[in-house]
Amino acid sequence: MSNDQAIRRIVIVGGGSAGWMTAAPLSQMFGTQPGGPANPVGCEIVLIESPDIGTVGVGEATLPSIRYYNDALELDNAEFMRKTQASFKLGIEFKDWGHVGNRFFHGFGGFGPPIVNRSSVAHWMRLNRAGGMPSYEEWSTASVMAQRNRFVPPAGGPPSAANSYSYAFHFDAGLYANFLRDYAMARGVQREEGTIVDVSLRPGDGFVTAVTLADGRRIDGDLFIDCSGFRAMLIEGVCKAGYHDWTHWLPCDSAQAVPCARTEPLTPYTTPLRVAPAGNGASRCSTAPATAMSTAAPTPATSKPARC
Amino acid sequence: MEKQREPVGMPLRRIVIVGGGTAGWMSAAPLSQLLGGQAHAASCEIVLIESPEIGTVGVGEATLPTIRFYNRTLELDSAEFIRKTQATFKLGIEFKDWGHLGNRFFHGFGEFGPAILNRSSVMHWLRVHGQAGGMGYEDLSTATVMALRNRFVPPDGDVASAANAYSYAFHFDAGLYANFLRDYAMERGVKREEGTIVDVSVRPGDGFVTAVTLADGRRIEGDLFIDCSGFRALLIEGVCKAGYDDWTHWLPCDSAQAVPCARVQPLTPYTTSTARSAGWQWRIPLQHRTGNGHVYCSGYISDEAAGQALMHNLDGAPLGEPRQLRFKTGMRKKAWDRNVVSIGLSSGFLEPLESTSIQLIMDGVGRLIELFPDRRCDAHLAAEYNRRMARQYTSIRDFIVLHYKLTKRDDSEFWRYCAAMPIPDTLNHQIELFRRSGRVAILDPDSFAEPSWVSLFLGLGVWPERDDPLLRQVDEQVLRTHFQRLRTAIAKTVDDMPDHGAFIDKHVRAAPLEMAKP
Repeated sequence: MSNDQAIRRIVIVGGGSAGWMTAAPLSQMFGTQPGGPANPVGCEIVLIESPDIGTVGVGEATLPSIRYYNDALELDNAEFMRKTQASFKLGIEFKDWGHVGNRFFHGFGGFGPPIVNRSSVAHWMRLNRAGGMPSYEEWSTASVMAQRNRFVPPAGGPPSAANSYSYAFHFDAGLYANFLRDYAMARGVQREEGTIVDVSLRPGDGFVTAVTLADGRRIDGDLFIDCSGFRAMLIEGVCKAGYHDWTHWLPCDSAQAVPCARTEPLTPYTTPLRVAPAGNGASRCSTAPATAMSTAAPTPATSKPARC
Repeated sequence: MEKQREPVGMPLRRIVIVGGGTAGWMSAAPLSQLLGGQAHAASCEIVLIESPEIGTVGVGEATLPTIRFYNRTLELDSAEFIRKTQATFKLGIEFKDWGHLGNRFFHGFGEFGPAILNRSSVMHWLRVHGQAGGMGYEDLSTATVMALRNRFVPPDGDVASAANAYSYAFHFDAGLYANFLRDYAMERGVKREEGTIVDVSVRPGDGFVTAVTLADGRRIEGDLFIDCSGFRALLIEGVCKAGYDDWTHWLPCDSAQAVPCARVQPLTPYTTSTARSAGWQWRIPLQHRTGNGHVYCSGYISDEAAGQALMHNLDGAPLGEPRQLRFKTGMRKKAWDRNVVSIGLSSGFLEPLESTSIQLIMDGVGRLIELFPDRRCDAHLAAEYNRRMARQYTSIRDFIVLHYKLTKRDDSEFWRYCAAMPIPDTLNHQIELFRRSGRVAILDPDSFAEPSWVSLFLGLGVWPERDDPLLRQVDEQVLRTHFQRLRTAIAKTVDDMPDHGAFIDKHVRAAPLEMAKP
């Protein structure tokens, strides 16, 4: 059980949300702060980011587990929110799904505590069989809060309407990546600017041993984390890991995204027509005409839609 | 609500349970609690048909700690339950001669100390003590230390400590337990019918069972039938032809002989499983006697030799002749088919090596209540029930196959077969994952957890080839001190615990069996 096979250097290929969200917890585990004590499991972490590739940065919605991620990193909540222009998210409002004119809410939380081991909403359905019940969404604190644009973090104490919900954040993904970049680099992650032009493989088992940048620098590593996005430079380009195509189930293959000026009120939820309070996007199947600009921007757009 | 909803109004009017015994009465009891009482809107009749010609084995049955949740849900009186079933406490299973002759290890209910930096305690132990020998990891398991010293007291205290870092189950007389639950169920309105089923009526078209006819001509109609007829699988196979996955190529034992013997001292708070040349032998201590059985593969040993081996290895005077059992290990392809739900041996058989028979009954009836149907018995409810039962069956199967596959014994044809036999891919993944990295994959959250897998791997001599690199986060000397303290704390805590037999005598001693009978 020897440890001479420990990883010496981890190479993260690509910055952006995936790259820096990967680098941050790894730096917490394996990194060393300048002047700090030696890390018994320490290893080098290098992140290679291409300066040629920008970030979209129109706003990103998350799930409540983002808070566990942030807590594990011991981030300062207020600082995180200020630095990423974050707002709170209680769920997602769905409009025109199911049928045109339809509206419903997918909130973070249930529709009341279970009764005799059966979910509250199942009991609601029974009572509603004769009709006349107010919407089941009125038993979801998150949903009621969202509709009235209210927010406060859940209160402590025994279960009650004041804490029967959870929450997540909307934030600017580009700013979040920057925030985590500072975090990771403070813990010793080395950032290398460059575009990868070559990958070296070990004969025999095909392990990746190094990547070479356009300026000729060669970066060796024991473990490579491919955060190169759709290009999948290593996992597909080198390893040929293969891809399950699900487009017959999910035919959308295009999106346009554009930020717009913030309006009042600041909604504490995502709407699939308006991604985040100031981020908009329309996802579509390219065989049908649509643009984000025409359907989604309540105020003049601040830039041209980005295509992806 | 735009969608037109179907009206309710097809609740079950009568549930018919076919078969008494452990499965029948363990199914009847929670259903009677839920549905009994005429005043309740959800009430429906429950009839249990029991054949007077078929006895129960009643040599003692071992359980897992979840039995306590089942009993608690029924609001049973713990002391009364223990007295009425001649129960003793169980802290785990002692394995002897598994892996190799002379081997001994314990699969206890509990961990080997609290996790450190999100890594299980025993992995840290392996790093500092793995090669040097010295302190055994079993010293870090309160359940194991208690068991080896025959101590028992229920876990105590709110703050995590050595005094509550364990769980427990029971050994009891399964026949007496069935009687106890029969009284419970009948008090809550379950009707018991004595008789032998000679005919089954099936609805044309969808093949739902509508009634069973008894030998005396009585006809009992029902909307839902629970098949607790044991290996005969009277309805689920006899009528529904649900099919059976045969697993005997992985678990070749097909026979057992069981015999009780006189109780000896001390009263051990654990089950013992001793590997034999073509199978294994169980020892289950009860208050009034000890249950014993020899599980074996008839292709490698004769019934006569198996019986002799059993009788030669009793530690008390035998109380009767061995009783012969035959089985075919495997799983019913559909535990729930149409309006027939099979619970107990009618749904499948896994040898009792890890005391899972009663667990599968409890989970069967629990899931039936969770997915409780109306008269239509929607096929999607059955599909969900079957999905979860199959996942649990296959996960327990893998765990049991592990006991055989990892053997280094080559003293008999049987063990050579086990060492060489192909195994399910899921188990192969599990073994290789642990062998290389010390990690355990949890494929079914309702089944055995990480400490159980680790107990078996280490007990059978499969130790990770490499340490988890993150273990080095903790300084080795700090760890050594931590383990030394933990071991001392456990030893000291167990020192103060009463003897298992003394604890039972003081708090929950049962009357001799003759007096316990009604």
